[in-house]
Parts: sequence; structure tokens; C-alpha cells
Amino acid sequence: MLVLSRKPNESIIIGDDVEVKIVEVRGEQVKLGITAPRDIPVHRKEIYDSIHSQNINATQSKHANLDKISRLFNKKKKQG
Amino acid sequence: MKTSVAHLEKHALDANTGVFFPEGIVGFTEHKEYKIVAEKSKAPFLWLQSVDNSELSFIIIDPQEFKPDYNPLLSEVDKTALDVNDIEECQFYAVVVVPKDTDKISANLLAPLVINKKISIGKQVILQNQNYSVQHLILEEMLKRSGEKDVSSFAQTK
Repeated sequence: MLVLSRKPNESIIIGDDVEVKIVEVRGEQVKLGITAPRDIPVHRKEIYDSIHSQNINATQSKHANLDKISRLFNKKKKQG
Repeated sequence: MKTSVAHLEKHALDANTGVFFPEGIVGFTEHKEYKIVAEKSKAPFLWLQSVDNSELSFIIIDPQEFKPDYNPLLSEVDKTALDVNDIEECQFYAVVVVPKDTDKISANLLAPLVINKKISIGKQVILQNQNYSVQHLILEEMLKRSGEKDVSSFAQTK
């Protein structure tokens, strides 16, 4: 991993068009400003990871258990 | 799998509609071609079935079915990726997890599958700065709306 030291208002460039700027440092928190082309997704890693693991869990869903929930939906619908 | 178009009629997408995800789905980026399959006994749940891998499928649901006030906002980036100007041009589905304990069935409301209804292009969008959960408990939500006391008695249907 490349490790660089930066001060507030300094930035790094990744490739030609992604810029990551240190906006503010306060105690343990660092605020980053990211400028990137529209087609480059930028996400907090822990959120991306949680979506990743939910998707994996989804593919292992217990399909047989769906009937019960489905009946519940339909029952509710009938009740209006 | 037995399919039925009955449930899908209210959706703009037909049963067995092919949907192309140019970026794949998070964690499954190599699979881009899917079809939406309905089974009458499982409505309102649907399947998003990979075309090139029969082992890969997701249970999905229109979030409006259990959370009518679901009101996601799409970023300009996502609108561009989906080639839409307005959210009305999109169909939203949440990816469902059915664990062993069925009462804990959940839907991912933070990262819905968004499909351009006209051209059937889809993307798993990660909503920005919106307070939705990746693991929204479906029964708890229904319970909240029905005023019943606890999930176990609520879920007991014959």
C-alpha cells in the first residue's frame, strides 16, 4: 500500500481525473473531498461491504420458507 | 419453475422479462443478464434469475408491498447510468434475505435494484445520505403497520 502524508487542503490525484482532497482534520475524523468522473462510483467501504454480504446471504435464502410469508401478504391484502 | 403473469401485470415489467445489468450486481459483477420470474404461490416475491448461471438467483420484492412510504432518491450519476430523467421511469426491487428463522426475513432498502422500465437496464444503486437499512425486517414493518403485538403470533398463518 502506498502511504502519503498530506495536510489539510492538500490533495492527491489518482489517474488523470480522480482527486482526493483533505478538507478538514479534527481529532480522529478526517473529512475528504472527492472529485471523480460520473461513472466512477465512490462509497464508504463499510456500506459497500454490508451490501456485498447481504447479496451473498440473499443467494442462500431458504426458498421453502417463503410460502408462509407470501400467505401473510395475501391474507393482509384480502383484509384490505 | 411454474410461472404466472398474474402478479406481474401490475408491474410494468412482464414475467420472464430480461434485464441487463451492465455493472452486474454487487459481489456478482461477472453476471449481467437476468430474467424476472414469478411464481403465483410466492407472490409478491419474485425471482431475479441469472441467465448464464442457473444456480444464481435472488428473491426480490417491490418495496411498496410492505413499505408504501419508501421514497428513494436517485443521484445524477445513477440516473445517467440508467438513462432516465425521472424516478417514475424506474421500477424498484429490494433484494430479500430469507434466513432459517423466517421471522427475520429482510430486504435491502439501501441498495435497491433499479430498472429502467423502457429499456430493461438495471443497476444496484447505493442510495446516498438516505436513512435506509440494508437489512430492513419485513415482518416487523408489516407488524408496525398492522398494530399487532409480536412477530411470532402475527406470522402464524395457516
